[in-house]
Amino acid sequence: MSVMGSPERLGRATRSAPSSTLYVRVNPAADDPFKEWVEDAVVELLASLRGALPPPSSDIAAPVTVAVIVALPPTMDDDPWRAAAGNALVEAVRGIVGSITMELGNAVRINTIVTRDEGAQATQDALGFLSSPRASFVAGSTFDLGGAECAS
Amino acid sequence: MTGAAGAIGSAIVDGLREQAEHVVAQDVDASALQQRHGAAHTVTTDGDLGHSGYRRALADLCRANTVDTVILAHGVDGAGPLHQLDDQRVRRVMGINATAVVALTQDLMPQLRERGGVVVIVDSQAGLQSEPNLAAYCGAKFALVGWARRLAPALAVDGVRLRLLCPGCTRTPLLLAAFGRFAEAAGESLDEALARRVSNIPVGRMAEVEETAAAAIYLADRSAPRPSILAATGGEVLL
Repeated sequence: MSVMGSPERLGRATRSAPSSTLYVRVNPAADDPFKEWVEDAVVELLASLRGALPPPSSDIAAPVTVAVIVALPPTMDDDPWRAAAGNALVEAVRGIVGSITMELGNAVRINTIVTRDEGAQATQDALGFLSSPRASFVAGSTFDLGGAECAS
Repeated sequence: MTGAAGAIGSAIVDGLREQAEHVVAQDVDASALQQRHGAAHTVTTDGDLGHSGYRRALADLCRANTVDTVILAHGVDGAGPLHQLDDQRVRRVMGINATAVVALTQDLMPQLRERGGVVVIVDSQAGLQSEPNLAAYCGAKFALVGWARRLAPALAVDGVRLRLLCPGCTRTPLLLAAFGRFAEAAGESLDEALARRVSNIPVGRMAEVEETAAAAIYLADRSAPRPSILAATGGEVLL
């Protein structure tokens, strides 16, 4: 499992409206998928978000835009305990993104993309949309791209 | 029964004893556990569910007592603004409120399969709808909803029922501690924070612990169909 920012996407940032992408990736071979995919991921994700997002008192001209990409393993459905851990990760991120949206209000615009192929065109399309002004009213949402059964 | 010395846990144990059930009562607080449940028909065990060795010992104790119904009602307070959380606190909230639930369910699974058992997890309405200043807690509670929704059908094939209770605001010390943090973050008094929250609950009040306990005991019935997720929220959060 790893949570990491994307430097090339951070490069899109402007002083008034920075944006970033955080990737939540899991190790398909994890011995303890719930501990590694969910607990460890949440600890790392919240640490990354504390660094990426301004405290409520910050004076910023435009909301900080963050996309959290949850990249699930292509195969995990054969084992119900692993599939359940994957679903738990998706839901945990949804809960966190929703909480932060409500807490920080118009200081941040954070959304989640769930995918099994982070390089797929659909993933890039979603990322491009969320990073654009066209998505300025989209906040706290989940774009489920191929992980549909996981987030249901 | 985990978290048996807590407010909701105690009320559940009391309700089970009224039904003449034999209860194995667990809590991290040994003295509170003994004080509340040091009675006949109750086996008590104290320890930290964050420790895998203790969880395995607890599973052994359940096996020795032929436990067929498990109610997981333990938890730690996870309230606080995002920027006041640190890794250690997030780890504790996730480890106790989510990972320990999953690990203990796994440890108990062999005997639950043998007996056609039932697991009831006391989750939270914060597992169904996000709330501000509650990011770590929502992470843990949402995770359990997602986990149970996906796993319950697979366990049902083996005759094990996995059910979730998502209670709303229940008058407990844990809730009051959480509201203390909300109030501090919002710059208001505890009474103001509580009144504001109650105004959002259609039934116009918080739940008493006995009401939330009754919902958990209802879900624990092994012999009858029950909802896999029950939102007992006074109408504040609907499924």
